Amino acid sequence: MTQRPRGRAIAPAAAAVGALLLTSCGGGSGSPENTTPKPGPSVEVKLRAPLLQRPVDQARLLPSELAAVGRAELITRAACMRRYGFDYRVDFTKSLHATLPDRSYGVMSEEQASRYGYHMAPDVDPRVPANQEKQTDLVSAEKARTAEDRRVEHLLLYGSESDRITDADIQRGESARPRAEAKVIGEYKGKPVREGGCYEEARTAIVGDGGSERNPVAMGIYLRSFDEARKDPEVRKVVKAWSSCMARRGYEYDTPLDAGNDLPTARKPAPDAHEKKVALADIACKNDTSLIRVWSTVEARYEQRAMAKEKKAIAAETERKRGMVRRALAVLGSTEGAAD
Amino acid sequence: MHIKRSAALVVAAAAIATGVSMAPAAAAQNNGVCTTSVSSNLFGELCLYYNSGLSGSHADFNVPTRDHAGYVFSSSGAGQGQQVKNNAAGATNLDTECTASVYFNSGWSGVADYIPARSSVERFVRVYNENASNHWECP
Repeated sequence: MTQRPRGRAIAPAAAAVGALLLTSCGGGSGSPENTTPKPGPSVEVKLRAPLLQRPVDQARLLPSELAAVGRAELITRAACMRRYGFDYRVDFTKSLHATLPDRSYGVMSEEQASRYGYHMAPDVDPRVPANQEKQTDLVSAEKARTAEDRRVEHLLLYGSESDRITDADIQRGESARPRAEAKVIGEYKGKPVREGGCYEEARTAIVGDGGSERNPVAMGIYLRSFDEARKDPEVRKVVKAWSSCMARRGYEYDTPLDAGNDLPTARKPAPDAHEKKVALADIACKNDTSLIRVWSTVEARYEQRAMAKEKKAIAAETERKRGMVRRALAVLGSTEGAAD
Repeated sequence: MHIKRSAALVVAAAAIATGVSMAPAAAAQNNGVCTTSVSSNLFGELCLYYNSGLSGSHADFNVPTRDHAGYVFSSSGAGQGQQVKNNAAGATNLDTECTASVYFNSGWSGVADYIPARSSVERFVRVYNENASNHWECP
């Protein structure tokens, strides 16, 4: 394997694409008319309510919302590729609602503890456990036959031949950016090819601007408030009470964030009966001490304080999130199988 | 099938060398090379950097990892050989579909910083030097 240059991997995207388009002549196969999934009737899609509702979540995207936005982007990306004649579709390999659980204070539901101990539910983990591979790529296409076909396909998808991410990608994660008309970098089958390809076209269509799916101010408040609450005397007191409760049951842990990590099954693919027993004791102690209620109340206080100092940014990010989720759910609601 | 380039790109195109490799080989976990894994079913890698601004040595993860303990920054550069756990400053997520999550604690506990597909966070907000595990949220 060749060592790539390290550090920030920036590809001169537009220029490189120009070079590649110069010689590209391969392409995809299949008729878009035959492969377009039949849109189902438009239905209202609702995401499940999270276990905890934080003040800052008005502007922060939850894992379930990130999944919905991501799925809508895939559907839009596939439609863009079909426009160029590529046989793209989206395989919905898992439920829209199987998303990473909130583990802010460790394992947080009795149902999770009794079924999976400290492990993640198998349906949120997209790997086949035996070989550590993703089950499938959601966007799939007829396999490109030649290297040239693969190259063209990659160009249309990403607007670049490089698998490195660009400077624009890096900047995007840090803030919302104005939506700009993507530069036309070439032409394929008489249709314009734009900078960023179908990937960027789909992302921009759902996100609504040139930024990423991350709302950075809300994310910052969420992370900092957790850390501040963790050190708050009220939280320290309830954590100590939880720790004493666990000790009475024969388990030595200083904090619920460390619980289960020392178990022999922690790094194995599945929990055993003992792990589930410890996780259930953990939940029982959380219930006895009201740990989740106390900790989340203190955390909410820190969030509200921080949000009051960032009113303008939070209002903008709240609006941005609403738009993102609204557009995503509209796409899912009109695509058969997308909201199951 | 036919592709033609924009006229505006003629000059730039001529200046660019050709022969760029298209399909990266399947990456090994923490082999010091950050790759998308378009040729396999592995995740595009989560690359954790020792320094802010995506600089210094990095460690590359291609499976959800419940504890960063025992991993060291593997590529050459500042921080090479240092422990990854509680030592990363920023990250790049090279997966093309899934959002990467970097957790405060082992076992995917505590809060997580989320890095959208194919993008970066140059400096973590709170998991800065507090990273302990990682996962992906896939659509």
